[in-house]
Amino acid sequence: MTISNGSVVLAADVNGMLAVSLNDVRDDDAQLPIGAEFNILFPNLVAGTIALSRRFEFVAPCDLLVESMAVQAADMTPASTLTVRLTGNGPITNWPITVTGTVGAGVVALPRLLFDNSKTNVSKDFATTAQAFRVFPKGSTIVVFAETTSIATPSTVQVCLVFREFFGRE
Amino acid sequence: MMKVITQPRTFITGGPLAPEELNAAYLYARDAVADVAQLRWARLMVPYQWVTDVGTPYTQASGILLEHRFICPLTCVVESASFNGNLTCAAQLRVDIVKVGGSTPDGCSVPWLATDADVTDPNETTTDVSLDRFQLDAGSEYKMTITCVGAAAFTLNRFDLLLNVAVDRWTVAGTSVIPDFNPSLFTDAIARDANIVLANNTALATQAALFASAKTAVVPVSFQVHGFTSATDLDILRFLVPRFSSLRAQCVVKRLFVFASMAGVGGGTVKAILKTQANVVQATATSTVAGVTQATGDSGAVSVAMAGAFSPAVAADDLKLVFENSSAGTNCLRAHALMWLARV
Repeated sequence: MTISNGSVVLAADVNGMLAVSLNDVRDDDAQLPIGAEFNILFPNLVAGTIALSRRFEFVAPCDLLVESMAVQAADMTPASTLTVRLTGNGPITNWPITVTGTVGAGVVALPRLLFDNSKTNVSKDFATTAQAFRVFPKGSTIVVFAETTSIATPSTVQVCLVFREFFGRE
Repeated sequence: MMKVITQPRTFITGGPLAPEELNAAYLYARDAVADVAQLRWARLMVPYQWVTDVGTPYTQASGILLEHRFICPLTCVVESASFNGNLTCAAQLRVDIVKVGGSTPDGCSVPWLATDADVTDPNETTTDVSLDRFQLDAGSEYKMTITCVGAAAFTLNRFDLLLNVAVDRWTVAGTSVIPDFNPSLFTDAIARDANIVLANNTALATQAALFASAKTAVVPVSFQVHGFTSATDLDILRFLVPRFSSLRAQCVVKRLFVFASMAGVGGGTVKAILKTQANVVQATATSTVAGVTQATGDSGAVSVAMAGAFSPAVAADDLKLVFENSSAGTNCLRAHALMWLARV
């Protein structure tokens, strides 16, 4: 009801002001844009491409968690192999996030890696440990490598990375 | 540090209502609005690759391809930038940023990024970092260009640049409008004026509504493709826009830009088109390129939801970004699309 002088102000009127008008504020507090997305492109990547040309390298401006990684290739040699590795310097160098698969003509999307908040089982064998979960400390150098056995051109490789940033909104 | 907000007592009809109890309710609302409104900065990483075909380097003769463009729908602040590359250059290599039709943003050095001097070994990684902090205006186009002192020769085998940008959700076009609720408070000396209660309630509703309306574009995603005509195989002109992370599950595409350059005097129309897997067009940015130059296309404001299930594999709900060149005879040297997402 509309409150006015002479009317009875109910508890619900005052309580309702807090519940209704603050809903937007409360909901907004939970929706923080805390991610970043990269698309790294490797056009005409072939087996003979030199190593220094088939990578993307940057320094993490804050702690980053690699949440998802998806790789798509188009018009590569049938039955060829494509491998994309994401790694960082320091102790993470020898434990890269890897997506690998068979590519060929047309558009081929390789299996995606996803950190879905499920438990991971760290074992002595790194190959059996879920690889999408990786935190890169602020200041670490992150490198995306791509290599293939394909010799077909024109072609393209797209590496889509979704990072969750630990500084988010502040 | 976030302030601890103490929730006031719930009111009961027929119970006593002291001024300080009513004030407590309003002060609680005031503090909640202020605390959440201050969670205002989103920090973004925007990567740029200067790459033609992998293994085919850019040189000083690459002309317009030595530029990359940037537009943010909101006022934003570049907090730092860095490049990382494998290159050679006969003199200092520089990267500069200017507003198209204008000048270097205030607070940005010239050069913005640079090598120390000439670089002779392409196998050694060359880097530079700039901590210059400067503002980029909402909706304005900026270009980042690589040059070499004295127009000396250079070869870029690989050149990657990263912008670290901060966006303030309350500063859209240079003016900050921050939710601010300042209620009129009661004392024992003030009459029990229900109109004051009404005014406070109305003011709170108005300020709270600003949170819902300020769902602005804060996450950029870029795509690029090189050397294509209307006859180019469509498979290499389309890119994933996968909906496979918790971030995407609450995202809406708000704006799409395309920056294109052509090889010949014929020019052409270059588009970046957002489509569903079933090829239903969701948004289009069209650039009309006249001759050997660069042109920009803007979809305008759109609202394309990332709908559907949360799937680790390609799904029917996934979107795709497709480039088109209308010309069969004139090569599009590079088309670069910048798509802005918002969280809702």
